[in-house]
Parts: sequence; C-alpha cells; structure tokens
Amino acid sequence: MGVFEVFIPLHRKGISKAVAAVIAIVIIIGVIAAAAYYMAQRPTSTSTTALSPTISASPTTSSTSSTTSASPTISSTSTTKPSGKTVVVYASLSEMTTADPSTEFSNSILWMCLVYEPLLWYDPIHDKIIPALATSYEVSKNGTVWTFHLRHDAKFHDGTPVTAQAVKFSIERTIKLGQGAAFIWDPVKEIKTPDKYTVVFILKYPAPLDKIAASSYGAWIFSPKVVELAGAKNATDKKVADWFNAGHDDGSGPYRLVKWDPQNEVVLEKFKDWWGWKLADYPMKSDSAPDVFIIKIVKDAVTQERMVQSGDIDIAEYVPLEDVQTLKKNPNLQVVTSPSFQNLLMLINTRKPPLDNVLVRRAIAHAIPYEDIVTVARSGFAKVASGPIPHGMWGHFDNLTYTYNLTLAKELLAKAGYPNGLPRPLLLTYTAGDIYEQRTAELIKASLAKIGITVKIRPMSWQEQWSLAQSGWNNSKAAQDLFIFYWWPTYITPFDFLYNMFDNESKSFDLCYYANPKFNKLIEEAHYYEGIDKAKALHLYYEAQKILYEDVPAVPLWDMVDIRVARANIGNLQAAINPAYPTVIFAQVLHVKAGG
Amino acid sequence: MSSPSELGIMFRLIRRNPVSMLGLIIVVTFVIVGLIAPYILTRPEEAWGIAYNVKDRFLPPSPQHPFGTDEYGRDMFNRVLLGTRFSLMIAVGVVGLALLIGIPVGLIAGYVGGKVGTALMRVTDMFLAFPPLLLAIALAATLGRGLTNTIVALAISWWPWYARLIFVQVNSIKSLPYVDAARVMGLGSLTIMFKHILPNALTPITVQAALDMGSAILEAAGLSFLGVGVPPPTPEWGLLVSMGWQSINRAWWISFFPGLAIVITVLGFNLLADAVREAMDPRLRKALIMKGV
Repeated sequence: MGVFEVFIPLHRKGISKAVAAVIAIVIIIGVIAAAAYYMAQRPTSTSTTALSPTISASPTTSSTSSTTSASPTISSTSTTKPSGKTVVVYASLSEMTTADPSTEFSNSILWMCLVYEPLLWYDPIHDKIIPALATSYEVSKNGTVWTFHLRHDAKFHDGTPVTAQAVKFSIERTIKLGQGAAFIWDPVKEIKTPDKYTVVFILKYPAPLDKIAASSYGAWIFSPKVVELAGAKNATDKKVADWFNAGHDDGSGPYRLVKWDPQNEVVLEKFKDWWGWKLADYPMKSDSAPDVFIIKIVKDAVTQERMVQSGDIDIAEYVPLEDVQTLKKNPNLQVVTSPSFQNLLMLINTRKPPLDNVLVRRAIAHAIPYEDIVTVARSGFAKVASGPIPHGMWGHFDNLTYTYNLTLAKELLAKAGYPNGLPRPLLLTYTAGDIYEQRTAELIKASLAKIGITVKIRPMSWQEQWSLAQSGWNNSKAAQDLFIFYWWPTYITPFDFLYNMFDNESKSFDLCYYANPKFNKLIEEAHYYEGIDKAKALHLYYEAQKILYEDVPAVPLWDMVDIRVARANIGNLQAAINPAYPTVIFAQVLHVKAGG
Repeated sequence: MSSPSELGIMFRLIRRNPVSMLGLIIVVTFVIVGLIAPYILTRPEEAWGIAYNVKDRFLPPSPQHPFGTDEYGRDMFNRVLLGTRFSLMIAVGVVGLALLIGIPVGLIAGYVGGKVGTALMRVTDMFLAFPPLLLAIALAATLGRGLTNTIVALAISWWPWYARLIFVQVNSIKSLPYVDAARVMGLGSLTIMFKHILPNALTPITVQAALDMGSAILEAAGLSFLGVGVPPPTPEWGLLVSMGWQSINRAWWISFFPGLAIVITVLGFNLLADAVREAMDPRLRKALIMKGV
C-alpha cells in the first residue's frame, strides 16, 4: 500500500494521475540509476547495507565503549593511524559465539587461535608439527606416555609465566566441564607435572596426542589466575565461564582480546610480551604483523565483496564465488585459494524404506552430477569428493568417487525392484541460507528426477534439521531421507570423519543410522595404530572407506576450496591460512606495510 | 453490489481515465498469464527447476533468452512467467482467506455488540498489536516453508484490518432506520446482517482488498527473500530476486526481471484500487449517471 499513497495528495492538488505515474517511474529509474552509478564508482558500506535486509550487524565500527585507542577511528583501515598503529580488518560471515576456551566449539575459533595457544600447532599440508607452548615432545614406545617440554619464556596476558601447572589446570578444566570438544582428551588418564616446564600425559590407550594437543578446539592453555580474577571458588565454577564471556581473556597468544561485541565486532591488540616476537626464526610470526586485528561481522557475501573493494575491510571471508575471476583482475586486490578440510556430504537415511535397500542407495550415488554441482554451487572452487576424507588430508584416497552414470543408476534401481522410479518422494533437507548447499540440493533434485526419483527440498535451520535427524534414532520414518551436511575435523585424523558420521555409537552425527560392526572394528583398530604404525593405520582406513563405498550410507559430494579476497597490501596471507584451523587468519604472520 | 449495471458503471468510469485503464490492463494480463502460464512455457522443465544447463550459466539477455539465464543456466523468462502463477495464488489466497476471517468477525462484533463484540475486537486488537510483517515472519518460520504456509501466515497477519474496517462500517449502519424497519418486520439477525448490512458496508473493503492484492504479492516476495517463504526451486518472484542477489555483480538480470515483474504488478493493483475507489465515490457516480454516460 505504502508507496503509492504518496501520489494521492499530489492528485488532489490537481496534478493528473498520468503525470503522477510518469513522475513515479522517473523517480524510480533515477534512484536505481543513481545507486548503480554510485556503487560502480565508489562502493561504500552504507550504500550496500541498505540493499541487504539480512544484515543486523552494522558494518561501521561502533565508537562507543571502546577500550583501544585504535578502534574508534577505524572505518577505512590499513593506513597508519595517528598513533602509528597498523590495523587489519577481517570480515566474518558469522557472529562470534562464546569466549570460554574450554567449551567453545564453534565460530570463536577465529580469534581464539590468536589469543590462546595450544602446546603444538599442526601443519596438515606438510604433515608437520610446529612448536607452540611446547618446544619438543617424546612418546614412549607403546604410545601411552607423552612428555612435553614447555618453553621457559612464555607469559600469560596477566603477566604470570606459562608453567606445567597451568597446562594441567587448563586441560583438566576442559575435561571436567566435559563440553564442546572435551572428548578429544578421552584417551588421557592422568596429567603429571614432574617439574615447572615438563608435562607428562599418561594415556589409557595409544592415541596421537601430538595431533590432539594441536586441536582447533578444546586444547587452549590459559592462566590458573582466572579463578582469582573471576572471584570464583574453583576452575569449574560457573563464574569463570561468565568472566570469559564478559569479554576477558587470559591466554598466552600474540594478541589480546580488547573488545568483545560478538554480534558486531571483536578487537584484538598485539601482546607485546609474546615470546614469539623475540624469536628470530620462528615460522609463525612476522616483524610487521598488524598492531590491531579487528573481526567485523558482515553477514553477507555481496556486502563483504563491496567492502573489500572499497577498502572498508582488508580481508573478506566470503565473496560470491562467481565474481572471483573479475576480482582477480583488480590490482588493489589479491585472491588466495587454499585447500580446506571441510566437505559436503549427503547423508542417507539407511533405515527408511526404500533407502534401506543398498541398490537404491547405489543408484542415487551414480545419479548425482558431481562435476556440474562443483561448477554451479562453487563456481569450480571445490573438488569432487572421493570418499568422506577430504583432499589433502592424510587418509584420503583418490579412487572412491562414484561415476555419474544414469544408465547404470536406472539398472540398479530396476534391480532393486523399482524400474519406474521410487513410489514416494524423498525429503531432502539443507541449512536455510547456505547458498552452496541450496544450489547442490537443487541440482540433486533435478538429476534424480531423471531416474524417476522425486525429491522434495526443504530448507531448515541447522538446529531444526539436526533435531529432525536425531528423531530418526527412535523412528527412522519420521526423519528426512536425505540430509546435506558439512563436516570438518576437530583434530586432523580420518577417525574424526569416519567415527562421527558412520559409527552407530556416535548418536549425534551418525545420521545415516548406519551400523556395521565390521566397519566400527576397522576404524577403531586404525585409530589405535595412528600413533604407532601409520602405514598400517592408513591401510585400515582405506579398507573402512571401501566398505562405505559399497554400502553408501552417505554420498560425499565435494571438498571445499577456500577463497579469501584481500587488499593487495596484506602480505603473506597464504601462510596465515591453515586448513587445520578453519576460518582462522593467523594475523601474527601477516606483513602489513605502514601507510600502505 | 454485483449487479451488471454496477460493474458496468465501474468499467465506464475506469475507461474514462487512461491511468486507471492501464491498471486494469496490467491486472487482467497478470491474471490471464497466471492462469495459463504453465501451458505456454517454452522450457517448462527449467521453469519448474528440474532441469539445468551448466553450459549456459549467466547468459545476458538475448533474443534467445529475453531475461537471460541464471547460475544454473535456466531461462529466466520462463521462470518469471511461471512465477506469475504463484504470485496470483498468493494474492488471491491471502486476501481471500483474510476476508473470510475478517468479515464475519467484524460483522458479528459490530452487529451483536456488547460483550461478544468487545471480546472479538480485543482479540483483533491483539493481532493488530504486532507489526504485520513481523507476525508473518514469525508464523511462517513456525509453520515451515511452503506456498500454503506463506498464504496462511500472511492471511493471519492481515485479517484484523478487515475486521476493523467492517466493524466500523457496521456500527454506523446498524442504527439506520432501514435496519430498524427490517427488524420490525421480524427478519432474523442473519438475514439482516448479510442481506441488509453487509452489502452496504462492503465499499471500503473492496478498495482495501484491491490494494492489498498488490501488498500481498510484495510481502510474500519479502518473506521468500528473507528465506521463510516458498522453498526453492519454486520460481516465486521474491525467491528469484533473493537468489539473484548473490550474483548481482556478475549478472544483474537474475534479480532485475523478477523485481520488475513485482513492481509492475503491484503498480497495476494500486492503480486499479484507486480507480475502484473513485468509481465507488457516490458524488462521482451521481455526476456520471446524471450525465447519462
């Protein structure tokens, strides 16, 4: 009703309606043309936010209640501030979650990797361990006693030194709270601290504790002083979590948390006393790292693209992939691609007829146009999956892709007793708002239609569709038939993928309801040998994946390739990305030229 | 109300004004296209979203693809054309359902009055207290995505306006002498309500309903854009705009043409509603009839 009521008064005053309509059209076209021209000339954050109703976070830096000298004035960045500080602004698509390093198991990884440190870092591309708080470690022959030697010069942000007691304190708090990624410490029986800088882990069973200690969640070390700072009785007192979530940190990393506004922005500032700055040849630092690192929440890829083009942000987490080729030509920008251990799978409800028939599942697997999906959904920035373990990770094998063969799919379907297609439509759910999942879903629908399978697509919120899938354990008929689903590992092991999604003990995520004792035994054995005999572990993982290939509890669709678009003056960006720590930019290795 | 002479007068009034005529033409075209769209598609499979063509992604508008193609290589002209049907269903469905709830509530509240009337109107007020789009979003999110749910969600946030409008009308009409006369003659309440009061209370509702047809399309498009409306790959206009938003820098046409379709249709309904309002203005009508047009 709104717009045209405006013209009624005009009409009353004697302007004819025809004139009014013409004026209206002229105004509309004028506004559109002006907006288009304006955006083409010099895009700004304000002009683009108006176009996107989904943005709740204002992309302009709020200037209230700021704790740093830098943050109030930052709106166009990476230029030297009067104070001489260099600033890098990173746009994150999702809001930050919690700030408790023991229980956080979600988006806050983005800044926790800069504020907190684990004992070790892991570089999965070169399969190399990088020292962090521990300089070296030894493992006993049977793989159950791990000794870590800590560096002597590491300090927490409260000024106290990082000691073996602090390591024990942190990990024990994580274990006791038992939330988030606490399960990674399941093998640990006891933590001993023979001296101030030595930590010994006694395990219940052999496990790759070096990888576990380098986990992206649940492995952070923080100061025991938090109990005192929070005014709490002990480490597991809720007051400690509240203290963290009020925007405090007490890690030992190269940056400190100085502003915590999880819906809008998080500001980090260099911690001058970080041990790494002084180490000449440490790989994970740079002498011209930014003084201030800001994570700004910008919930829309198109807006992020505009902002990085205009220089309002320095690094965009997501831009529309179809624009990447054009962005590459912009001399002010750089496009960095890197492998990612995130993959997209389609879980199949293996207990709901007719999907309980393995021939039907195989038919579906052969009727999915993998190449087309990668082209359409990701503009080519993904790899067709080969098994549930993504490319580039150890445990990945190249010969596990299903062929796209409609004739074969039809034959399989006929053999299963459905020569004319399935008798009922299949319900496919995906996370609403995820454009890649949506495009994938639409192509699956279109393609399965060709072999006589009707697919009903239902976008749902993550929580909703996960609950729906959960209900399948009691009544598989009530759950969805097909579930499009991302997975990425907590720490880098094939076991993370295979156990969580396909072992029927894993009630949270085995949403294919797949139960195969032979498979379970294989992966458990493989996991056991990981720390002792890697070749044997690899072989067992391969066998396990071959079983999945035959049984088709899920169809792996594609492995993501990460794209970051940044201003050209952000140096060393490639090295700041590590697929073991998804979404994280290790700001301490960036080269930022002052005034650049 | 619906006697041929009434419609005849209205049509004659509309014909006198080219802008009103434009509105009428747009609306008639919209309805006709909406009804026959599924039968005139040149690429029906692409329109319904069960076929795609990777080689033809992001083609700009050309004689072959007047509205270009989208990220799946589907012809946008066919998609937009089919979308007409969904918008038509939404316009008719939302307004129809809202009238179906709103008119009886307003009528009974106005005619019966007293405690029943108060109760009914307070319930109406409760619904009015929510911003309509917010209520619709909340309902759509609860009911789940789908065409029917979108229609129901919008209708629920919409009916109180009609109830209010009717209530006010009925209140002023029910004390008129002719209603008393009907009562004296011993006619039943239902007969009086539906035969004597309702027809005379309908004028403002008709205008409002015509106007709201456009708004319903707009709001349904808004819901789809926000991701709580019709699920993909349905070619609903709002959804098409929202899908194209991702690619707006690469391919403006994906969002532009469905957006244009929304603008034109809503414009048509607004112009028509204005014409209907004028046609129902007693003074204008009198002048017209006296002139013997």
